[in-house]
Amino acid sequence: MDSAHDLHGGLISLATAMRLGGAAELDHLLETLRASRGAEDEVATPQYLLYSRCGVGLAVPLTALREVLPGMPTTTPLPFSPNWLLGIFPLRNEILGLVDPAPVLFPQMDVAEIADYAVRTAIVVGSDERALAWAVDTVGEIVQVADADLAALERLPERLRDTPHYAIGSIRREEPAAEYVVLDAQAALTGMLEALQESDEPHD
Amino acid sequence: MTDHLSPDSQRDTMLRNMQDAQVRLARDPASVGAFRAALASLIEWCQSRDMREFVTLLTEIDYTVRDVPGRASFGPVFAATAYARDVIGRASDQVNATQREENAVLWQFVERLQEVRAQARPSETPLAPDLPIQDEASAARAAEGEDLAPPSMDVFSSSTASAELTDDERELIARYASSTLNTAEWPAQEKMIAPPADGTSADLDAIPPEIKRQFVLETTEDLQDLRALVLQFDARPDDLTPLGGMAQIAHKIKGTAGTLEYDTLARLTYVAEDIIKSLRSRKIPTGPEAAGVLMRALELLFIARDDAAAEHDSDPALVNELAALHHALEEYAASSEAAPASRDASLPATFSPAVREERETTPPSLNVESSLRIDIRRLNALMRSLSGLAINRAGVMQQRAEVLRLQGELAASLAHLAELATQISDTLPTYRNERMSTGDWMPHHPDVAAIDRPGWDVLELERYSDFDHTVRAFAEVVADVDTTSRAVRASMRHLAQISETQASLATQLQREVLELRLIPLRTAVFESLQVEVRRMAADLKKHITFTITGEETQIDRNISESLKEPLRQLLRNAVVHGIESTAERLAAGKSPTGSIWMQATYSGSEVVIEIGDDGRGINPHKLLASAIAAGIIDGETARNMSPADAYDLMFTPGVTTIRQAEIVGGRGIGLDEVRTQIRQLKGSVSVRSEPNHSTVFRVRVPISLSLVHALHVMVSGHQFAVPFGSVHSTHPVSPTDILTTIEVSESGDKRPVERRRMRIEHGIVQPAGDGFTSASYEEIPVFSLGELLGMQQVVRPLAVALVVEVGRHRAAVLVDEVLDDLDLVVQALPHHLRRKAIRGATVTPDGTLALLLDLVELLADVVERKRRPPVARPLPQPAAIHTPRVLVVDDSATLRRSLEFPLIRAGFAVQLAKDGIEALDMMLQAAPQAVLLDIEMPRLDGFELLSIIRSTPQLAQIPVVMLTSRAAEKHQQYAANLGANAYLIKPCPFEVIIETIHTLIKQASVHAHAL
Repeated sequence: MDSAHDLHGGLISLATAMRLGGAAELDHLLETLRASRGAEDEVATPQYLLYSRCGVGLAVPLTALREVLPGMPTTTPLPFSPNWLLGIFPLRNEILGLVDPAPVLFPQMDVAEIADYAVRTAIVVGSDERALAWAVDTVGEIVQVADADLAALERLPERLRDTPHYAIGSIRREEPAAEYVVLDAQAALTGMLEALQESDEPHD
Repeated sequence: MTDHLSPDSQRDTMLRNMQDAQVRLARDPASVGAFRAALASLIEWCQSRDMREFVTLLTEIDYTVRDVPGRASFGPVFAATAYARDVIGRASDQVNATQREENAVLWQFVERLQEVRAQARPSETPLAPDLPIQDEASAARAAEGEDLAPPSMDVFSSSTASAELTDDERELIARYASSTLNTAEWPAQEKMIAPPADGTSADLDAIPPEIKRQFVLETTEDLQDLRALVLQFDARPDDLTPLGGMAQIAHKIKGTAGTLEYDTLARLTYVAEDIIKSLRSRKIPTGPEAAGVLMRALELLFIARDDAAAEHDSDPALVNELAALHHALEEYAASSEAAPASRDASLPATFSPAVREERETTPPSLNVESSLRIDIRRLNALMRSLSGLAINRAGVMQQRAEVLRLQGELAASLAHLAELATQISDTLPTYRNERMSTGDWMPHHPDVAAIDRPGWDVLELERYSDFDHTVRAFAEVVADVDTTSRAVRASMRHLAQISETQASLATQLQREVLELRLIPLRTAVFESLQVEVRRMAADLKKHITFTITGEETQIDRNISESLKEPLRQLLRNAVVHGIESTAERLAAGKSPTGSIWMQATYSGSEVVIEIGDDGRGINPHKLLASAIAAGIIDGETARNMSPADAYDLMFTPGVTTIRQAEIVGGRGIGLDEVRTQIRQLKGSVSVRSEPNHSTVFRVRVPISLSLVHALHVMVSGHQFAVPFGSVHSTHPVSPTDILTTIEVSESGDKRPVERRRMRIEHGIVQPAGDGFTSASYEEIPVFSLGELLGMQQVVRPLAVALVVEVGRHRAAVLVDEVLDDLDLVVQALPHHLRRKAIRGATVTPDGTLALLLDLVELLADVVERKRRPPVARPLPQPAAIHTPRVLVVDDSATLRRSLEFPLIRAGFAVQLAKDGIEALDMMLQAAPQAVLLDIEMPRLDGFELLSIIRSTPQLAQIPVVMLTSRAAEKHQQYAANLGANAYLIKPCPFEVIIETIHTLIKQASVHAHAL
């Protein structure tokens, strides 16, 4: 077992649950952590954070997730940047960019459609300097899903039809019934970072 | 370790250590480290007694035992060691006599050891001895110019050479000379026990890379110190004081270089040390020639340092060059003694100008960021600030604890108040009934009533009922609360003072940490440039004095590294093109010695470096002609240009007043490159000149790129910072000051564009009207900052114009307001967020992130290159960000606070009201998206407020969630009748509250869209 990985994932889960304020969630996590401590020989079960954007249920592995922000940060606009860079903000000793991933993940949606879905908070994806805060509609629970249990997407959500390469699987929940698309967060993040780096726009 | 012993005792102790180490090495090849350590001590001892030949021999022994692993070298090594021990053991103070007699034998051993090493490493030639032989035969050969080689084996049989050898030694040496020794042939006392088979001496000799790296860094500093001393010596050749310091530095480098296997560097330093000693002993006269050789030695040492940084030894030819220079210097000295009149004032002919690499920067293989030498005084100052911060922090913690304690007391008092309030509520009806029914103010309390107090006036005695007790207790608690509140206020004031001190200390600490990166220009830049100027002047046979002032001016280390090349170019320009030849100067009535000066001063958060000369100056007409010839400007433009504008043309590529043939060494003036490099440092360069008289270049660079003195400005509600030094002046402007015209664009699609300009005369903005008749004004283009950033900006009626110099132009940038000027710590943006003209970001005093802008870069495109500003677009707003606001109305402060944080976490903005009146006031100012409403509240209860909400048109549609402890059906029905959207009973889980609010807001939103 990768104890460092497990510990990292556990801490992320704990912090997220504390932010979300769910006591049941916290108990569940603590129990999970206690159980995982005893399973020295078992491979750590990957954990995913469930969230949504533009009505699409999405999941990101905790290994790619740095933290969940308590709300939308106050940002400063950065000139010469694409519109989906909502601004930059300080987070402890760093400066992070806040992006709306919707135009990147769902390029066929227009601005008006996207505007119908209010963002309420942000999750920080990536690590060190290669990190961005993604604005999201809702943040849900953290679930453990073994790689073997990760389902293949039965049907790609319509909104992802132009970016199927970002979807690498799905997580199905029973109560309430819902399907969450597991994103290739690293690929999406890399794409955004590269697009931002190239976006120093020339004059007309 | 042996310093306390007499000289003879020191020697004997070292020799015993040497023998012990030899014995151990023979037993165990892995103990080579100890053997070498003993050798090193003996070498040092011999050095201190100027026993140079024995230093050489012992060094050769060291190299051999190091380079030839295992036991393969033990024979010759031990023989040489035994010889050395024996002769040194018999040495007295008559060192020179001993050396002369033993020379021949000694050099045999040296040659033998070199041969052993060459056999072990056939690709390498044995290193030549680095000292001239002092026996008569070799001295005679040297006088005839023959190769300085050790004597042949024939010398070995010389009677003088063996006169004082013992029989054993003769036998030993004879065996050595005839064959390779092995352990079986050694004298009895040298017989060794066979060592273990697995010798692993190689590992013990492996030097950690970190040690080598540290050596290179230390050597760089040592060479910088050495350079300072050489320059000092050059300035005053008769003062021998610097020579002592030079010798110490050379000695230090030599010792460590040898240990770390940088042989050439060690030998180079050895030769340099020799030269210094010769100067100290007056064997070589001091003067410019000697200083020139020392400078060359310095250059060679820097080359060897670079090679060490690249982790390889240098070309031994460097040693030969320096040894040759030393020899030439000695010959020069000898010839000048013989015929002073014929003494040539130039440098020795062997001084080769061809090999002249400028190697005085930190070698590129070392990352300049990887380590930093810090002045201990700065570190001490930092520690003091840290201590102050720690002490102050303790005060903060103490006050915080006090406030928490008082807060606890307050909470207890409030709890008690709540109990008493309940008691009052319970006892009041009884109390009222009694008063109303009896009209009697007699005491109700049975205990009091039973007291028999004859003669006492009943009315004078206070009678207490339960109610009275409760009310009195209530009053006492209220007084307690008041007292505690005052104590809390006092603590908070104290805490505020401490916090202010904390902030001040933190700022000071921040500044001190940033200053750790600062180094004086003297060591960073100026000293190396002094050497450069001296050399260039010598090459061109120009007599130039070069003076420097302000060399202790501090600058960021990284900036100083990048500043060297542009300053070097400017100085080269001054020497080559500025200062005339001696003949020219005399013909012009000037002093034959030209003068170049360099001065550094602070100007706000910038360093200003001026480089001036009293040379031929710059002819502005020639510059203009060159610019016209290059097609950069036309004749009409040239006619309208001032001399200052003409001088600025020097920084334009293709403009020169110099014929190609005059360019030294293939290097052009390159002033356009100088300006580019300085601009990259966020600096500027300008020039002024007086033809035939002088030229002065002025370079401005920030002291540090991390700490910037900046103007804090506001544009469309966003804060920005602009470096203070980049703003020439600021002017309040109104629309009447801006002249707006429609012109055809000079680039692209030729569509009409709006151009704005303003007039400035004598530093004052003039009205833009037609009635302006003055001819002495300057008209400059005007841009809004938002326009330059591609952001929509509504220029306010009253704005502020920041006038900025961009090359030889000026432009004005409009901002809404200049808030203040601040010292800001600039944080670099991560790579993917870096944008042109944005230097970084900083946190302003109110905690907002502000971008630090480079206005010059922003304006360069539109002003110099005539490009249109980017198309303005709305400030990127998070189109879908919507933070619904929830108003929580409850008379319980505890409940309001307990709901606030979970609602914020759920993504709501939260307002709090303690009663219906306050809530209504808030709602009328700004309607929330939902209301969470208690029922029982003073002034206006929940039902009343709900009724008002539903009857107020602008509030009628707001979702209202009742949150109350009243669970009865009748209350719920009543609320529903009044128009409540939901009824939640306390205690209610946060999740349910939040979900209810979410649902109601969404429904309300859908309903609003439908309407």
